[in-house]
Amino acid sequence: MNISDMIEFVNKISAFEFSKKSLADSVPMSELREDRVEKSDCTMERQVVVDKVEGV
Amino acid sequence: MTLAELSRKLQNGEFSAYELTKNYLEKEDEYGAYLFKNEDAISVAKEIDNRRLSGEKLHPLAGIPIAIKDNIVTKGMPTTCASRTLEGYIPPYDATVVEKIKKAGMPILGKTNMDEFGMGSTGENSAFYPTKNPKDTTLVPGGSSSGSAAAVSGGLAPVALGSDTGGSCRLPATYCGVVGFKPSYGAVSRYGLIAFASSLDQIGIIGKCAEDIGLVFDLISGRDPRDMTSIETKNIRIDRPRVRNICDFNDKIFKTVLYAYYIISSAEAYSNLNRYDGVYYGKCRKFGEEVQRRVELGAYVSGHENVGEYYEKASAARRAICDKMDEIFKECDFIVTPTVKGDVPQLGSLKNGADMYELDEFTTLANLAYLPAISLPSGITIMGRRGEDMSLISYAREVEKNGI
Repeated sequence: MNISDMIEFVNKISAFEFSKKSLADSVPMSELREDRVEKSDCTMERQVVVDKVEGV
Repeated sequence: MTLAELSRKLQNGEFSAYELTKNYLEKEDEYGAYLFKNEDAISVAKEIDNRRLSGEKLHPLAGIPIAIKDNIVTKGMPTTCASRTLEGYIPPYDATVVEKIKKAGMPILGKTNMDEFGMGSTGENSAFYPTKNPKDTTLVPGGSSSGSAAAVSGGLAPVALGSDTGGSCRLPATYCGVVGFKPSYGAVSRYGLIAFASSLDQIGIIGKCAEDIGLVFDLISGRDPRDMTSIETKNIRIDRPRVRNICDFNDKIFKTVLYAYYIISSAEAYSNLNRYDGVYYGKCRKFGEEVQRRVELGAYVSGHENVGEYYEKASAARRAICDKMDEIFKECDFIVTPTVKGDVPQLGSLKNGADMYELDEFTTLANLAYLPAISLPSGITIMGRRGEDMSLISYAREVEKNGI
């Protein structure tokens, strides 16, 4: 299998349509980061996470 | 023998940690399961025996040896990810999971073979030598945690750590007739796990039964300040679980899983593997063919001209998959799927990469949706809600005893 076959393999994703909501919110880690902000009990780390979320 | 039985016998003095560890270390590795055997495990075992004799209260797993996949860093022990790129690398620190294992007094038997950097589903993509399936040495053991599964199945270790980015613990465990567990994303610290695809990677466990998995998970899981994605898991008792089967999955979004997985994992691999010595513009003569192919694909799908068509679409698919799983888990507690379609392939039979990629058809869903999943030797995988790993393991124990 060469790289063009592999591109052809993943090309199949173009057959699917996604909602505007999914496309707009296409950074899956953002929810995890927000999740960590709520649950984090460490002030310094909390600040780092907040910075990252704001930076996205 | 289960870990609980080994623990009881060690505590009763029926055999010593030294005898147990020596027995595993001296067995001939006819399956290519290990890349490195750690003779220092003997001195750790002797120390545990002395501490037990002096009356010290030890961890229940103290003196029970364990094997560790070669992409988890171990201080003073070679760690190569089965790649020529990292040949000769001796890490100066331990992964968080390794620290916990050492603190509990589990001797480390060695580093297990794998598909290079975790890329592969058959165990044939190690840069050093392929792993063989102890159940039938003409068959593939599955990958990428091929050596960990072969070590447990072939009696070369009572339990082993692996890693699971798209099914790399569950697929080889099924092919080798043992149990494979991929925890929730974040349930086990990834500090010291050499990254393949950071948003999908998770350290997992391969053992003989779900009870063994639970004992090791209890030891290695938990929040780690050195891994910002790590979480605490909950143990919720579910008396009458509601279970749904894969046959309920008729939503077209699930047809995108495999393509989304290969786009996201390759893009992240391209980002992670660019740091190695000798990599120029995504090419490196020391990478094996499969690694090179995925790095090139990652460069293509995340490149400026293509990112909208591939990476962003795959991320949108991932979000839609997560939403769908949340919706399904409102109405049930566990989801059952097959682990893999078809028979175990013969060694060397999967020449076309796409055939190999399709082995991951059912397993990648749990990684994309951050969910815990456990595969049983019967060929099924059970998934649970994110963070409810112990509930899933308890249910798997019930299924082992009574079926679904």
